Parts: sequence; structure tokens; C-alpha cells
Amino acid sequence: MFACLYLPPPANSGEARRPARGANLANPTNRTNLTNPTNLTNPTNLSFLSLVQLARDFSPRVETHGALRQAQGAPSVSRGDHVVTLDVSGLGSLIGEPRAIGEELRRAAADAGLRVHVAVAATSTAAILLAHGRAGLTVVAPGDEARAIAPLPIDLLDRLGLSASIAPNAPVAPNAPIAPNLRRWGLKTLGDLAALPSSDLSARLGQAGLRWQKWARGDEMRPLVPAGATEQFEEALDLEWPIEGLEPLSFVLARLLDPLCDRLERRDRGAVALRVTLKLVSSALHERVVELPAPMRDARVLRTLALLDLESNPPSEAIDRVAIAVDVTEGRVLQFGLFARALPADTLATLMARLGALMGADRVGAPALVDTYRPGAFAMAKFDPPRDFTNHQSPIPNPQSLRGSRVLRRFRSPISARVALEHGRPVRVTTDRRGFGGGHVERAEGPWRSSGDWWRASAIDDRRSSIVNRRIPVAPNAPSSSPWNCDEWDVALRDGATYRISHALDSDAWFVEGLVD
Amino acid sequence: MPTAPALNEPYAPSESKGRDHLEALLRHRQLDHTLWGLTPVPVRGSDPIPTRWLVPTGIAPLDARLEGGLPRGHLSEVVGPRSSGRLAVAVSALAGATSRGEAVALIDPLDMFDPVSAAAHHIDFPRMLWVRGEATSSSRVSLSLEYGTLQKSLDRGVKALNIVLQAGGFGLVVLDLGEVATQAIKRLPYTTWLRLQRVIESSDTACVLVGSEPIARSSGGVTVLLAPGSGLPAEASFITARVVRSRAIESDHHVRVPLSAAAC
Repeated sequence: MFACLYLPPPANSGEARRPARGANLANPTNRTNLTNPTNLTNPTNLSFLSLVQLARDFSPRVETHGALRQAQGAPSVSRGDHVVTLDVSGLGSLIGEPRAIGEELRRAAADAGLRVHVAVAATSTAAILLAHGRAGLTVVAPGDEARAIAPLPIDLLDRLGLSASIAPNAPVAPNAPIAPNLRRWGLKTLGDLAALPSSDLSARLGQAGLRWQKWARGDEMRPLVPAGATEQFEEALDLEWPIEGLEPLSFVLARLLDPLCDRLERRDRGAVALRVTLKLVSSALHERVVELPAPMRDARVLRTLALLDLESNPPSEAIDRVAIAVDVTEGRVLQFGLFARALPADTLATLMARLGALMGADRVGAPALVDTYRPGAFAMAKFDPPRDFTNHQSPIPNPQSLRGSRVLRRFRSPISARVALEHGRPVRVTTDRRGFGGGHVERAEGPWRSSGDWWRASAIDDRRSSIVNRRIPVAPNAPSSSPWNCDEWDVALRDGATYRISHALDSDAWFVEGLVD
Repeated sequence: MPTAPALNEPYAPSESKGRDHLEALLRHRQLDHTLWGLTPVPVRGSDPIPTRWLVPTGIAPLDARLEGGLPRGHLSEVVGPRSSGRLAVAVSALAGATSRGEAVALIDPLDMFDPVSAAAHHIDFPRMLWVRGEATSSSRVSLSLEYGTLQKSLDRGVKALNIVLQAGGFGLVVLDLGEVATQAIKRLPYTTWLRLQRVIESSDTACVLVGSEPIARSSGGVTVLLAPGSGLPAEASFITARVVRSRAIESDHHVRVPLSAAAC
């Protein structure tokens, strides 16, 4: 047994619920207030939420229609109309006969200030149609649905928005009104439509026509789909004594997160963001939001991530109150491969958070090549190893990477050097750097000349100043926007090591860039 | 190939004989690794270690000397003087692991890794976690400050290595200590390396330390000693290596192996 509560738009305040005549419905800003039930500033949404709450007071199995539910087969009622269907099967022993249930519903709605149409029927389809078609309370005995629906006007199908679910290959254009077509056939009521031979209707209108006829007969189209309540996942704890430091806070977080994660487990939800709000002794709030890379509900992982974040951003004073809220989404279903070693998302998130807290968030990631010939240029990307076996080697060609099979240890700040030349080739390299004493060059290969970014507008002034003041060394790989113009050599010294040195041509300065290993 | 013991063979009550019986049975069914954990201890004269327990370096002659590659679940090291090719060997192994779809990590305490030159080894960078320390190559720091910064970078690097190994899921993890002063490494408690070995001994991660002198090696790990090269860039495509194992009789045979991108 189902009951339907229909709250029609008030006739004298149509402007408040319906868009004004001539308003552009295609404009999203015009539709936002009507379709977003969380916008509590709109009286339309307030009445809708009251209607839903009223239904929940009677039954946990409540389905909302209209803008909130436009699933296949579900009616998408006109915007501004509010329809709620509830399963009242279990209320017989509590309230009594279906009529008593309907009267109780109507009385409760009146107490809440809602003038609703109430219909109680054995099928939700019949209840919805009767609630739309008749004011007041309508109660239909089981088996009498078709007879009760038959006198209703056929225009009701358009009001329920059933034309939106028309089959694409139907002879009637999608979203076209149904009633004018049927009225041309001489059909005026739902009873007329219900009496048509199904085979002939199917031949002319396809599956959509059969679906309309089932509605007209009051047949059950599909099971009721209960709408879940918006559950808030929050926990808070007022502390008897203020706490300082992360170690005592760890125990508090564990106490809050354990039940929170149990609830997430029961609801099959995963946290995508963790919001930690600390109320300090000065009544100031210290709020942190930890974005999670994947839905997770492991209390230990969440606690670790929260602590690592607070370690990087500690509160300035002692803590009086701890509150945790999580933004949730559907639980994650993950199938790992049999042959690839996979890093679970929660493990990876914890790893990156730990490393970020230790080394700095900007110093942990995956190396990435950039499209430039600038010596030493690279970028840091987020470390998120792909799960497939495709090699993601960057296709950017760089002649420096083809110079040999040895790998360079690069000094991020090149070491200033003094280089003696003979016939344009380095013969001796010396530096002031401890551990790089330099010496006679046994053999040298080069030069490899590269330059770039000289075409930038600011580059001309930079180059002029560097030439005028030749004592200021211009490191070839220091700021990425500055121009560079250098010759590079690989020189083997007497100590057996091979170094890469560069000659900045504009400033005539020499640098040791790295060590070939 | 050992012969399988018959199941109806009379069971000996003695403990040692029973264990031999069980080991022979497991070995015949290629389940012998279950006797020692995930990684079998290589014993000279025993069956070869399955290749899935090894991480090839990608350099065929060196892999042949290593009997397949670097063992998983153990601490190995690649040591040698500057320009001896130690970083190239490590990068080659990293590239090989990423080409097999494994995630790898490079702990770089002094922030000296150069992605451009490493790209010649066709390393798949999205699979590589790079943990960068603080660069200390400024030429104007005082000696005490330099040593303090160096020790701090080293401590952080070892901690980062510990975190990465504890997380698991990596096929190969490399700690580059090639330019870290030996004195700074010796200041670390020796239990540091024992603890790291303890972390990975039940995992399928191979851990490699790159340094200028032997640092630490677990019982099942290997030491690849790279001889000083000629220092000539023209001959930089060759390295001279010697492999040392703790449980095998090691000859002084040196192997001169080509180090080229094609060998990867």
C-alpha cells in the first residue's frame, strides 16, 4: 500500500514557485532555485523539505519525485510541483485502515501548514495519478485502481512529464506533449487510453505507448526507490583540559575517527576530504582540510594523514575542542591485477604525506621532462604510477640525453670555476669548492653549445647588464625565465672523475655543472 | 633437478630427516621459497634463484655475473669512485624495473639527480618516485655549516628510505649516497642498516645503496664493486665491475661490461 503526497503550486503565488512568464528556463541561474533543494533561502524548497520530513515521520521508505528524481520510468513532475511517495504498508497495525492513514497524513500536513493532495492506493502509480487528479483525500481499495483512474483527464500524462521518457525511435518526437496526439485520436480520459488494444498501441507508438497505457491502468511500473537521508559524518569532543602537542591529540583523533569510520563502513561510504576543526583556548578556530586522493575509511590512515597535516600546520595554542567532519562518496571497489604490483591509494596517500612532512611537499614526486634545451631543466609531477604496462616515457627529444649512457649528478647551484684554455680547449680546471680541487684536464670533449630564451623581451636587458658587470656570474640553469647561452664540456681530470663544465658566453664565466657517473 | 620423494616413502621420525623430506618435496614442486620466507637464500651449488626474486640491472654481462640480478628482500650496494658508472648502473636497474611495470623510488639526499641525462636509459618517469633532499653544493658555506647540513640531509634521506620501504609496493628502491662524505655515513648508527634490512626482508623490494665505499649489505645481498674507470668520456660506455657475495666463494674476476642504452 502506497500513499502519495502532492503539494500543488498555490494559484495566487505562482510567481513565487514558477518562473515568471517569459523567463528563460534554459538559463541555469533561473532554474537553480527550483531544482536545488539545499537552497534554503527559497520558500519553495523549504516547503518541499517540510513535505519530505512529513513523509519520513510516517515511513522510512520515502521516494521523492520531480527535480530530485528523474530516473527511467519515474515521473518527472512539473517544476514547482512537489510529489512524495511513501510506503505505508506497515502502518495498518499502528494507525488502522488506509483511510485512517490518509486522514492522519492530511492532518499532519495541515498542522505543518501544507495543503496537500493525499491519495492512498495499492500501487504507487495509481497513488501518484490520483494525488495529481483529485484534491483532498482519495483512498482506493486494492483492485479498483483502474476504475478510479479512468475518469482522470489524459492531460495528466503531460503534467507528469512522461513525454521525457519517450523512445527515441517512436513516431512522436521526444519531449513532445502526449495529450494532443492522443486527443486527436478521440481519447479524452485515461480510461479511454487503458481500453485500447495493447498490440495496436504498440504498433503505432512503440514501447512508450505501452508505458503510457500501463500508467493509465494504474499498473505498478517499478518498485519504490527510497531516497536516503543526507547523513552527516561528524564527530566532536569537548576536552576537559586543554591539550598541547600532537601526541595527546593523536589519541583524541583516534577516539573520534574509530566510530566515524565504523559508520562509513556500515554505510559503504568513503571519505574524500577530512575536515579537522580545532577550537583553541582563545576561542579561535584552527581549521584544516585534508583532500584525499581516493575514498578511504581506514581510521589509522585518516588519523595519520590528519596528524601529518597538523604537524606541518600546527595550532598556535592549546586545544579545547576537536571536531572532525568528512565529505563522503560511494565506497570504492577496486580490483587489483594479478601480475602488477600496485600501491593502494590509501597507502600511497600516507606515503606521500609522510614524505611531504619530512622533506617538504614540493620535493617529493615524479620527475618530468620539459620541452626545452635549458641545461638541468626538469619539472616535478604528482607521483601516481599508472596501473597499465604502457611505457610513458616522454617523447620529447633532447640531445643532452643522447650524449652518452652515463648519468649526470647535477649541482643545482653550479660551482664557479677557473678554467685555463689552450687553443680554445680547457686544459686546467680549479675551484674554491671543498672536494672539487680540480686539476689538469686529461681529456676534454665538447663543446656542446646551447642557447635559448634570448628572444624574450626582458632577456635583452638582462644580457646587457651581465655583460657590463662581468663579475656577476650568470648560472646557466638558474631562473627558468632568464636566457642562457653557454658551451658545455665533459672534462676528465687527473683524479679519474669526469666533470661537466659550462662556459656562459655572455658573462665569460665558467661553472662546474655536475659530475658524470 | 632434484628427484621428487615418493609420498609413500616411509616417514622418518627424526626432526632433521623430516625436514629434509619436506624440503625436497617443496623443491620438487617449486615451492621451496616458502621455507625461508619470500626470498630464498642463495647457496652456491643449490638450485638457481627464480628470476622473479631478482631485479635485473639491465646490463647483460653484469646480470650474468649477478646470476640474474639484484635479489629482492635484501640490501645490496653499488659502490665505486666518482665516474665509475655507479649511478648509471642504478638508473639502468630503475629503468628496467619501470619497463616491467614496477614502481621504483630514488632517494636523493643531496638533490643531484638529473632527469635529462637519465632519460637516455628510457626510464618511465611516472613510475618513479623521486625524493629530493636539500642541495648542499654551494661554494660559500662554512665547514661546520656544510657538515651540519650534510648530516641533516643524510639523516632525512635514511628516514625517507625507511618510510618508502615500510610502505611497500616498490620493486626497487635506490638510496644515492655517492656524493655523501664517508665520515657522515660512518656517523650513522650501524643498527640503521640492520633495521632497514629488517623492514624489507619479508618483502619483494630490492634496496640498493649507491656509495663510494661499501656501506652495508645484508646476508643475501650483493656488492657490485666498480673499478675506477679511465676517466675518459670516450670510454665512458664501459665499466669494470666485481661482484661480492657473502655466501659464495668469490673470485677476483673482474668483468668489463658495456654500459649503453641498448643494453637496457
